[in-house]
Amino acid sequence: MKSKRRKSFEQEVLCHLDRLYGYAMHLCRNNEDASDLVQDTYLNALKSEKQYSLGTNAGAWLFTIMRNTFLNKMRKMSRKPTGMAGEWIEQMTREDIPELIKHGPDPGVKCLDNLLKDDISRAIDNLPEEFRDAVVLCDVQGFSYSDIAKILDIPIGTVRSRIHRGRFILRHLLADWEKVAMGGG
Amino acid sequence: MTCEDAHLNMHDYISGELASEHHKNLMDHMDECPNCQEYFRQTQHIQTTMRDFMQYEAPFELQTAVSSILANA
Repeated sequence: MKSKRRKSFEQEVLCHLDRLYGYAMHLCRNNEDASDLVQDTYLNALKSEKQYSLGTNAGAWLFTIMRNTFLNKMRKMSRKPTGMAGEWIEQMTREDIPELIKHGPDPGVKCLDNLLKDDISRAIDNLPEEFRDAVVLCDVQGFSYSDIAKILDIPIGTVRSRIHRGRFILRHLLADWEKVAMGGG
Repeated sequence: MTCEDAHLNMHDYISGELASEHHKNLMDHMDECPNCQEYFRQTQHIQTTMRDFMQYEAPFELQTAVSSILANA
């Protein structure tokens, strides 16, 4: 017979299944690996159950476990998850935020109103990993800066800067592709 | 407020992290600055589109597998 605590624990962790699967799809890029990662995450969560206080932040706790599980898997396979950073993006990642702001705003870019799912996916794939993680956790998963700092194990100021910079790069990638698609330079 | 400050604040606003006492200054700046207003609108639009496009539902097989993991623990 299950204890009351165990039943509550199950309820609290199970309601994050869809979000965890979404994050796993983002990390693994395919359904099979994502499903395996979700199951491994729940197995690891069960192993660490005693570290979780009921009624606290199950979402951030599970996402932290998922990320660590994923990174351990990558390490074992000697693979490093990376974004496809080109020279231009490399430059964007090095410059100070005030310098980046000088590049914009670009009010001439009106075409961002008609974004397609493939454009968004491609732009996110092109973000270097550290920016991609922060932007996805904030903009897709809706976590606070403080939760993201815990999940990624980085200072909150770094989270903020990666989100600002990541959105900036994303916006410019989307705008550049649209310009090309519309016959611009 | 400068455009530079407005940009920093608008990202925090979109993230739901801008302290409420700064909201008015940001909105006042955007009322007077069409460039920042447009930048804000586009950035918010990208976020909303990304959130809409990247929502997933766990496949039925995965739901069953996870329920089984929890039930048999």
